[in-house]
Amino acid sequence: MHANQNSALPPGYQLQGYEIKKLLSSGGFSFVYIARDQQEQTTVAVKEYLPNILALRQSGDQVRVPTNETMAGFRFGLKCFFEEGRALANINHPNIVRVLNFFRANETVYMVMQYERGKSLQECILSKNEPMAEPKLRSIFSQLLNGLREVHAQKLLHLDIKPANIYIRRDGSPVLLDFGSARMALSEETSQLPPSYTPGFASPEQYRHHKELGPWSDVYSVGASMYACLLQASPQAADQRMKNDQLTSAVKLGKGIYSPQLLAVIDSCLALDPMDRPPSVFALQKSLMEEVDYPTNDGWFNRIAAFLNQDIIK
Amino acid sequence: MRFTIHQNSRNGGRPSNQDRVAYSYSKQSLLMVLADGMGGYLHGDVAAQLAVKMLTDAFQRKAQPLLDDVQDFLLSEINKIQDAIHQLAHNQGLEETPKTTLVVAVLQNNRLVCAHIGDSRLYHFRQHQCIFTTEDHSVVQALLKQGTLAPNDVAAHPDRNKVYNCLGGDIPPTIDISPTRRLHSDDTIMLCSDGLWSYLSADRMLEILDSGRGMPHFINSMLDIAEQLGGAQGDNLSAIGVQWEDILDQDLTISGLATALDQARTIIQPLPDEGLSELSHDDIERAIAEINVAIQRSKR
Repeated sequence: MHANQNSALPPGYQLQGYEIKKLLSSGGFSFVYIARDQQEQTTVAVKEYLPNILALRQSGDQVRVPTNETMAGFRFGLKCFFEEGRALANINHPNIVRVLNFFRANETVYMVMQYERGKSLQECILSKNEPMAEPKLRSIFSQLLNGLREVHAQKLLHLDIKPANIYIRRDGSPVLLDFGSARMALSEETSQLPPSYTPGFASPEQYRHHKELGPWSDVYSVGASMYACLLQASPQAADQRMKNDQLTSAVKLGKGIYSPQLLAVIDSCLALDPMDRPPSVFALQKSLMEEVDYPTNDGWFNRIAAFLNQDIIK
Repeated sequence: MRFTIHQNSRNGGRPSNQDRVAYSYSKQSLLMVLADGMGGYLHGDVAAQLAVKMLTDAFQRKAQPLLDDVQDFLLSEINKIQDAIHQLAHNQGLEETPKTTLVVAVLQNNRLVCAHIGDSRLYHFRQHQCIFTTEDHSVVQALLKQGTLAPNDVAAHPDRNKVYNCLGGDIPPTIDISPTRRLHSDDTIMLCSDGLWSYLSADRMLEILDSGRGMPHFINSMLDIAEQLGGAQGDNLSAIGVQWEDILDQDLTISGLATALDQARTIIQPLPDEGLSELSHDDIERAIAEINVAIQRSKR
């Protein structure tokens, strides 16, 4: 079985009204391409459902689903892909990736999304040798939380917030991507879908029963992502923390780098007990927007300068 | 010391899982252990659990931060497990002692020492090659060595699951300790139970490893494949893999705990076997239509 050698669609391939330009990324369950919408004359991102272990496409464009057992797996993953489509289709928000179209072709399904220029927060973090500046961190996350509030307002949970899924546009504004793990909160259907998580960013509840999941689980992941901006690596995974918590508190790790207020906020998001986290996304957002004195550059002039510089991303 | 590690264990087609897998580390030393409780015997999971628990506990006490003598640690701690299993069987009045295989690896100072009993294996991969595997203490392995069995006939042999050396038996186990092996940067060490290696050749494992998608992908893909091939009759299956990085790191307190950001990948747990309602072609069409209606509706 050589099923993880799926081939991507070639540049120039005509997919309904879209022309494939190039492969952008390949994940465990899909390929993402940059394509040209020929009618609208715009650039779009097209996500193709193609689980690497299940479906087969050695060459050509048709996806073959070889046996009955793999068929069940293929269909199951497809349900998750639809779940992502449903989640996003209902949301029209500047900080949430926008879905433009959803269609069936080549025996699989495709999701067309607005293409954003910029780079992931992960790339931003890794391209620097020092922690991200506090004003920039506050700006990115308070905007991102606008989007997250909208997600929660739709009774959805994202459940896979991490720097790789936060895209930073050229103007510095963030977009939340990849709703492949998104789940309807408080829905019976939750139990039908397999749990997925990213170690370091997933909340402790994600390792336990899905009934414990809530907006507080996304708050943990936001905290872990802010922590990653400081540490420039993933924090200790929650399942390990539950056994032996060795996570250095942000207050300790970031002393002199970020304001004590921000560090305390990060630590509270990362509380193992959901009850100890900020009571709501709104409360968290408010504390990120508070006026504070930064440890260095605390002069009035430097603070203005820092604010002016915050949106510049190479 | 820096490494990327991932482990996972699944039931396969069995109602319970008698495999146990665990790791433990200090700032300078890493222990990985895997035990396959023997299904033909009662309480195989008890023996496997005891083995894994005792070894990780002993490691936590003694790796301060290095183990002084790895061989000595492995020999003495494994013998203690054998005694503990017999003690437990005696205390609980069990007719038969629970039994388990064991494979354990200690990685420190860029060196690997491994011990095994039975047919759970360790693989050492380097630069697209498998450079070492442990030799099973199994009937078929012995026949292969004698030359009385051809490699192609192994899969069909009636005794292919029989081991002649295990923990918990009446005869004390023969603890097979490998000579110390050097570790290079980017080496991968993988431990697994027979539920995994029965279905994947070392070459197939390498193909998955060489896709370069990180440890969680490597381990989970192998389990996916073995689980599918094992089907409804499949054995329990487990694996743990580590990618070793020979990088000097000033900030040891963090490197032992934090994972590199670009290694952080979403792990998809196994698909549940039940509650899987089939999607018909009509269902798919309906889902697509619904989504497109929602897209139109939310356009402002």
